[in-house]
Amino acid sequence: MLVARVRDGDIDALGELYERYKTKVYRTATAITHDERMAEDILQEVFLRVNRYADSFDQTQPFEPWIYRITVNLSYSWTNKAKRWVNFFQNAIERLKAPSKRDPERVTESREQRELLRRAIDALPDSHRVVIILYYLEGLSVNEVAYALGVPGGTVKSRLYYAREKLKEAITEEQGGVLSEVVYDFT
Amino acid sequence: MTLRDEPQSRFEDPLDVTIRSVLRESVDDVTPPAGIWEQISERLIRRVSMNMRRSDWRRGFRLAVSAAALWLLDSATDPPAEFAHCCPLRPDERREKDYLYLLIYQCDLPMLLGQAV
Repeated sequence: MLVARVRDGDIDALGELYERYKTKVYRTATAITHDERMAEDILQEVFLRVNRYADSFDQTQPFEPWIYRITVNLSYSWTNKAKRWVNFFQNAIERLKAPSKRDPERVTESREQRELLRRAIDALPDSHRVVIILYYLEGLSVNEVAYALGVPGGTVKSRLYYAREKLKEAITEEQGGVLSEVVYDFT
Repeated sequence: MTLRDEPQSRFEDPLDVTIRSVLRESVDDVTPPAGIWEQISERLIRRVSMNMRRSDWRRGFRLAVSAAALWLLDSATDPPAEFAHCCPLRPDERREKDYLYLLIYQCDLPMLLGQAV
């Protein structure tokens, strides 16, 4: 197993893990932080940590949720550090970028709906947004998300339910449209 | 309709499909730039060599302290028993290498011996 080789100090094995997971790690970090430069630093740090903590990795568990756990934790802490500095500017830029509803060159309904959804995802609390990212973007199962975040499966399910309801609300409020009638129970 | 947890069925609903698609779109062209692995391996190699240097230094310093203790023991006319007790090497175990370490670490020794004496 590659992690066992990393544990023995094999840098090539770490390189193989890097090739296998770099895009997933980078994509997740970018989705959480919205900052590709920060994601680059996180990508580096994730693999340095994999190397440093390979000893503590439980080999009975799958590797992927573990690397997601490191990625999410780093993305959280780096984002929180940066957040207070950039929040003000980010909000100002978003307000300038947002298309006006009275704009005659208004985008199509479907495109607008997607934009609304994107903003609604960004507006979710971090703890819910990350669940959405891991579940929908990365395709992790509820159990894998739970392991990656270190929370019970029930918590993941309730966060998914809450986040999905919020997103549905955000779209229906703005569009007045009818969306799915799906009952989302994750049982 | 009830959504279940299986990957096959969980993205059938239009809202789920749109959520996934919007998220994918936001990171669609995102790929890690080249050169990151080189930076990681460089940092690892630097860290390993720093650790080796530290561990060499510690090992050498221990030998130097032993040699210094022996030298003090030899020089003292009436060394305190505790001091002799602390000395890890007997006089017949002295080696040239120990004195070499003593030379190498001569700058650091006064600080340590100053605390010990």
